[in-house]
Amino acid sequence: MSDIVEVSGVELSYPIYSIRANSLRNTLANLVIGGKLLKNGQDIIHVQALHNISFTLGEGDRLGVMGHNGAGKSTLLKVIAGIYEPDRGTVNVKGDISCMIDIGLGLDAAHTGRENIFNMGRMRGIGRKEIEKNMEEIIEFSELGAFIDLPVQTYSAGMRTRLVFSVATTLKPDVLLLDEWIGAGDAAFHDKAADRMNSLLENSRAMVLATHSHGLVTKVCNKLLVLDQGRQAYYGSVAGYDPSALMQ
Amino acid sequence: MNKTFTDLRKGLGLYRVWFYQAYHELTARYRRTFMGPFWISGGMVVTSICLALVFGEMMGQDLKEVLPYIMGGILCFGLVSFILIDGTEIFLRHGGDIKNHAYPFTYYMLETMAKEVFLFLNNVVVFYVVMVMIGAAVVPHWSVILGFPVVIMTGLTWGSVFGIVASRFRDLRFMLPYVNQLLFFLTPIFWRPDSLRGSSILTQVNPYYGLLEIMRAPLLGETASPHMWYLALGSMVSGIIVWLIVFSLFRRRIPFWV
Repeated sequence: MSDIVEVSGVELSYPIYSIRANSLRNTLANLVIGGKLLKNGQDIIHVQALHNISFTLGEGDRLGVMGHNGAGKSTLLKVIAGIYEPDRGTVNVKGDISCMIDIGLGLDAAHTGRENIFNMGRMRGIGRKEIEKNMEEIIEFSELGAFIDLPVQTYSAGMRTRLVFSVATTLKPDVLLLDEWIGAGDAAFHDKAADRMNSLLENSRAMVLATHSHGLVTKVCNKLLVLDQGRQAYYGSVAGYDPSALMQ
Repeated sequence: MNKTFTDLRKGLGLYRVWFYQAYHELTARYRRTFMGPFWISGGMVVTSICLALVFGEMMGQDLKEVLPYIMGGILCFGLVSFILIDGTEIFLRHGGDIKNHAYPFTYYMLETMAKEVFLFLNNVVVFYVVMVMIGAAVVPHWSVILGFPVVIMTGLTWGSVFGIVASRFRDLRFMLPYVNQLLFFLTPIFWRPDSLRGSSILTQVNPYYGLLEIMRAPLLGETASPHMWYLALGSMVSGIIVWLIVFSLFRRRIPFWV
């Protein structure tokens, strides 16, 4: 079985700059005075976000990533997506990635719903023809009706979510990256959205889901990675993990 | 270095996206206005007429003679200014996207430049309309097709170098546009270099003058002197080299800086 996602020995630390470190004046002063001025204050803090993370996902694998807030879940997703380049280690992904960290990419409230469908599609690498082909389906799914030709700024929050969700889930990616499960809209739409997410999941070849919910992981995932302060606290089958361990 | 070229290849491959995106952002800004992007061109026209009135009078030159020079100068200066104005903002302005989407970094460079080029072309049209109106329109010298890409390459490379540095050191975000404003006065845009006594560093080593002149001179039907070409080509080549180094070294830091 060939691996679709291969992550090996990934290390990532990122710098956090204080106001002083961002200022040219202090950096220059530092150079002139030989770096003594700011030695007492920590001005660039390096956070070790990921420490020696390794896993592989094959055809049909669904990986759940769990951990406390700040454990590195989102950072790991961003490394897999290619937003962050790791300091050490390698990430290999075969196929298209659909990264649903910010599903609103390309939404411009000044444009109509229809224009936004083109725009958001284009920014996700879907060509105009393919969008035109899917246009009616997207509009129908979003239940926006005549609103689709009005500017998005006239939409209610729920309508906006439905539009974004409909476009974002139209893609058929090989690898799906999710930061928390995406649901949308009122009760009636919620079921539809859940169905859509399930079919998206079935059509993808591999999936990584970062979440806090162990219940969700047992429902949709077959593998589990638990992060603790950037370290790999557990990696293996979902069944082999005792969720109460995370609570401690 | 290898990843730099991969990034560049991917960025160029997204030409459809940045081309439309640039067009979209421009038209969105002027939505529901009557004049549209001609508001910017309007500014160019009014500023050049005012400067032409003052300086034409001071130097005893005819408006017909001085206006093409000044308006051509302001027109081309707009594109050259990319280096210190729009370039500085390339990554900072797209901070949200950079942190959440795995676009190649060159995408943002190309999108910002595409926007600038659209504006420039829009201004070129207005420039010729005014030239025809005052009866001073001339056929451009062919070398304009060489000057244009040199300025664009210089803008892309030096501009994104400043874009990277300015996202790390935020003071530059405010300082560089100011430097650009100073260069507007220090570069022969609305004054003639021959009105200076002897040669000056303002005309001899000012890269902005070279970049400006290789576009303005052909637009006015003349040719730029070889010295201007040395200045412009020097800026472009040094830009490419510095960009290759800075981009390769700091590319992966950009998401943490913006």
